[in-house]
Amino acid sequence: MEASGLETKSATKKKGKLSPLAAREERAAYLFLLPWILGVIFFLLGPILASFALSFTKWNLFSPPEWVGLANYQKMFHDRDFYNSMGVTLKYMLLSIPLFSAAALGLSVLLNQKLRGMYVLRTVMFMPSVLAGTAVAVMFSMLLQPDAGIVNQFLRGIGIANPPRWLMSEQWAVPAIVLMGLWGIGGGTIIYLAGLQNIPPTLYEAADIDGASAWQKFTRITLPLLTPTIFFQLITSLAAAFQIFDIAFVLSGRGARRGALMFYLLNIYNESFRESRFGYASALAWVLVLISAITILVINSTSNRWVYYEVDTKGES
Amino acid sequence: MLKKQALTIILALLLAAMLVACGGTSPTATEIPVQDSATDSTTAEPVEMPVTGEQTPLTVWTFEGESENFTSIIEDFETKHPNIKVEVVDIPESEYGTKVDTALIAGEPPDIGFINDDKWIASGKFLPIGDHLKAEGINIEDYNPGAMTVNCLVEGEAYCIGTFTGALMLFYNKDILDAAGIEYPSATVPLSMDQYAALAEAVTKEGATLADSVWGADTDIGVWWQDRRNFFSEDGRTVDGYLNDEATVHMFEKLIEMREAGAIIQGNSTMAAEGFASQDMLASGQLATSILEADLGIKMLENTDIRWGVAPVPVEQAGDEPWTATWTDAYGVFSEADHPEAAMEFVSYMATEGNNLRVQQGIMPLKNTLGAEWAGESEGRQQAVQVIALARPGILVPGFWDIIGPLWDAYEGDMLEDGRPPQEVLDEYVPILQETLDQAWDTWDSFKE
Repeated sequence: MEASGLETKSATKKKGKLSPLAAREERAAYLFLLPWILGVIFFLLGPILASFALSFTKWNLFSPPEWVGLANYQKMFHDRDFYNSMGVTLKYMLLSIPLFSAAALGLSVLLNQKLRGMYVLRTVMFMPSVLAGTAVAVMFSMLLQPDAGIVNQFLRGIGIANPPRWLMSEQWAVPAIVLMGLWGIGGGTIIYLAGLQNIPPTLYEAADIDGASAWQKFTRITLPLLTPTIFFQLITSLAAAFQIFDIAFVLSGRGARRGALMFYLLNIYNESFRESRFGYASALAWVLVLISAITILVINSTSNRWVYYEVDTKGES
Repeated sequence: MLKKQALTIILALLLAAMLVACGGTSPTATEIPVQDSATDSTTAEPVEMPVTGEQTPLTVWTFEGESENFTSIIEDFETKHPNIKVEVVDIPESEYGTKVDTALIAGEPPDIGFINDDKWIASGKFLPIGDHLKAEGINIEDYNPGAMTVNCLVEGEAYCIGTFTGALMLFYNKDILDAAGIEYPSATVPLSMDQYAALAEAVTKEGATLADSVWGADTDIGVWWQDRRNFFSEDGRTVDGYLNDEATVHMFEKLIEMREAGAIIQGNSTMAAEGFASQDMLASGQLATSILEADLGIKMLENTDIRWGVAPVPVEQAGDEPWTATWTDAYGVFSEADHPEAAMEFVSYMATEGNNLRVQQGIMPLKNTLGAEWAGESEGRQQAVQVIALARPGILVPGFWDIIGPLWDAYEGDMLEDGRPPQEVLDEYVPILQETLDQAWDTWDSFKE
């Protein structure tokens, strides 16, 4: 009876007027949130909605936008650059995501060993990740220079007479960018490392008692319990791969043939800021949003089949 | 309570003082009239008097590094115009276009800007300056017609003017040509592609090492250094029948022939492996000819013992009209400039004193009549003046560099690597380039609507 009375009182409080103190606190809370809310409205929601509206217009930045309906979306079906840039981005994804994930996972397993100096090693491994993408791109463009670059000099030194022309080759340009990406796997490695350290050691102890081999422990304990981390990494890697820009922007002028480095975002940039076709560029951006959203939703829908959580997230026992 | 109120008043006063200090242009001795007109001057405190009333701030946006060239001209201009204060803002070249676009959309451009995108003129973002220049006694016909049409003239109206002439020329090493018994190219009559190839191939000598080798030329496709009329129709809207006509196909055939004969330095992996560029080879006396930006080439060669000369760049066929690609640092006045009159003053000052300054700096001025002064006694420079004089008005091709971009693939990939005949490759590329060209014109035309 008493409990019921408290509930009624609480409900009345929720529906009715707040106490002066609570009302003041609420106002203060909104006031403190205001900069963020204004920021979201003016710098995020506003541009998002504007870009959606612009995608149905022809706009060169200086003349008033002209309504063209779905023409921008229809144009993509006949646009060579659209297909090329989508192809380049997909090629990069297919090459980079498995490679980066495997490399980061392998590295994290090594860095999870209990050895002297491991903290220093972890720091060293992470250091390249903090370098700016542009600086890394310029550095690698010199390393991968086909004639004078140190990579090809090394390859020639070990007997490969005609090493790839890397960024200047139609076939090797994207693989070269993928290799560059390995430089920055420190971030992913740290996340995998955190995932590894969350696996209860008791499971390994039990496996040891049962006589499990190292490989069995890895495939039966480590990998299944890392699937939430792998899932997280997969989604973030996908999002990052769709958005690759800085490296492509810096390196696209360095001789890549036949649009071999025309990544999707670079195409959007070119259409807007070089060609002044902001309506079409907005449509391209929305198609990218759609494709990435669908891809991520599809992966997400499969997650309950291969992602294992130590704690049942559905609340089922 | 009293303490609290006093603190509030002090804080309010401090805040007000800060706002005053931050707001608007910082006051200087010359811009703030310190004395009320009604005040008796004999009783006023002795203060620094204004030069002549308020000072007009003038903002100039230019590429990073350019402001250094203007230090002396600005000082000189400000001395002669004490009521104008010029501030030059350096902007990295890669960000310049975006920054100007953003400022224009916001309706807050600077007063003067470097025009590196024709769309700003087409969309009326710059004021015509022809009448002002005329009133100042400046005749735009005294300025290089090639550079003016490329950067500043639209439908006969001048929107900007510059201080220097950038130009592409054929530099040659007289010693190499003498050794091969070859006559020097003329400073007024261009070589044809056949003559150019013959010269380059005749002097090429493949030595055992890089240091023993001599190359004849250092060019890639001629689309960027020849007259655009060779590749586009006169109205700039068509490539079919121009890019793939007999003369252009022949040009590509000659380039391939030269490259296969080892007469063109590009593609030489030994040189690249040792970290040298073709200009290094020119400076070290191992390159007979080089198509190079005039200022760069002249300054480089004047610092060597090489005997050199310059000629106009080769043309497709013997008898073709000579062509010299030229450009300038095009400064104009934004339509929404806060101080258009003062800005016009500064731009016209650059057209006169800015050009004189370039002569002093040893840079070829835009004003043709200063050419002789710039050249002095130097034979090479005198030839350069002759070559510059060949510059003619060009044709407008919006988005030119983006349109011709695929031709490097056509040349390096399809023709040289895959060995496909130029006619077949160019016929294949024509529709691709035409599509890009059509889109560029569509956007261009929309600027004028």
